Amino acid sequence: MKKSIDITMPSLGADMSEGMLVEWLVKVGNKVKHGDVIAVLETQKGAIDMEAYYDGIITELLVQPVNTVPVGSVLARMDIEEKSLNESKNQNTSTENIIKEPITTEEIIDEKITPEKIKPKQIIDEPVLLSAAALTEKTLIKPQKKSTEKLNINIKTNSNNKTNRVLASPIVRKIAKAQQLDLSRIKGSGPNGGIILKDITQIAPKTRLTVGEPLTNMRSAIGAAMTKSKQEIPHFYLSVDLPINKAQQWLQQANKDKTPQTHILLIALVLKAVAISLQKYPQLNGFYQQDHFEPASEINIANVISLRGGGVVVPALRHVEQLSVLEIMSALRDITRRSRAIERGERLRSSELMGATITITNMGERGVDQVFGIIYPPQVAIIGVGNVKEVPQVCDEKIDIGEQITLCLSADHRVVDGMLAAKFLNSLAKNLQKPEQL
Amino acid sequence: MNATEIEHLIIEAIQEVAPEVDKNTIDFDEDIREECDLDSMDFINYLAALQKSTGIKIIEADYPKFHSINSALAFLNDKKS
Repeated sequence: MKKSIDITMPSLGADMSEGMLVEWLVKVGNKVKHGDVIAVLETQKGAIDMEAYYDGIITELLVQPVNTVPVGSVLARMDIEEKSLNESKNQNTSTENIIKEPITTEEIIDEKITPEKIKPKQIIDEPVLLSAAALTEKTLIKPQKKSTEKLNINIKTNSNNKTNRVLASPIVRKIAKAQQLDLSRIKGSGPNGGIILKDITQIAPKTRLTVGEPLTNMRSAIGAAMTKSKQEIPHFYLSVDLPINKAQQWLQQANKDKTPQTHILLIALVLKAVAISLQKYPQLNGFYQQDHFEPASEINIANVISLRGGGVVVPALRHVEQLSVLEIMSALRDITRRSRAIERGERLRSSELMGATITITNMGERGVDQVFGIIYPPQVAIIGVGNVKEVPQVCDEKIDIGEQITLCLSADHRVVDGMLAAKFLNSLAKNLQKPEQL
Repeated sequence: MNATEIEHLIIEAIQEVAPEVDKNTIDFDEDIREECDLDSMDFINYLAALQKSTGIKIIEADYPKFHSINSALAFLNDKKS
């Protein structure tokens, strides 16, 4: 049985509020497979290849390039086999709340309700209102005027609900989810204190995005995400000085006579060690959303990659726990090259900017001893890696010169305590003393 | 593959990782990691690109010879002959 699903502007991180559709690479009627690149988006992170998350047939292209729309806006629709949806849901059960593109059943739409098509070159000044127009649902009162004018929202209330559930319309919830806004902190001005679109329009970051101003927008996007993180997440910080003589010796052996394609850097070992320790301490690998923590079943490590013109992108390596050190290194080389090669037209893929369960920031290359990062919401931890330095080390009652790095952990105190974080860091340190087992 | 072609391939390989680099603004005797602001990952990617474009195998023991453009030119000229 066929189902129609929405293809929406993906959220490629907490710092993204909107994106620009630059080009469709598919037409109505095209068959696409999961992973096929279907569109090119311009975001604060640069140009991104947007992928399909299901096998199916494109049935409608609702937004025409070039247009900027908020995260969550419906860009197109496709027909998929219901079986495919179920299979995908089963495969992604644990990642449902991190990968926003695989549509949940509540987003399966009534085909009779057609959102107003967005015309090419339309200037959009009210992203949230536009999103409402694009995502019109049965629970919304249809706008009597044009979509660019203010909408009335029918807040659905449930008199049987005796919990402290926040009153908000589905569209408000959808936008809040996409932009990772905490509705419990927003005062609603609707009936019974319900949150209406106007309330979150005032809060949601409105970063205007135009081609040619990537840095300015990236700067403000990073600023918005990091401000939100610092305001909402009670960070605490731990660090450990870690002898890495064994890891360096192992790397020396592993790299001997190797070509650049198979050369391994220390950071690849660190990533593998982090993945192994996270399997033991899953409380640091997942998402804090809607007042609770959900551990992720896969370990997707985001890597902070500084761009040559300034700013950062944070693409993730997926299932790091299943990759060999060489595979991790190869993937790191690839995402670093593509992240920094925007001028050559190379792009990251949307899936690489979604679903990260923890982040690593490596500042050691820049001569920094320690880096205590700001957690990337909704993740709950970030690991900082400092530089390799020669230090005096006591071994068998003798002082030798050895090599050391400092690993730092910033963690969310709502989810973990210092004791668990310390155990995680110690586990990580132990793993790096046995590089041959990584 | 003459010396001019090798130089062209070196610059191209640097631009693979640092697209904005202009060959007229780099000192060919200086360490390109400093001159072109390359980190370890960039340097490995630069070598990988150069190995691919020249067809000359570069192993880890040879890496120091690629620290400056002139030393890389000397090494690659020597290898192809």
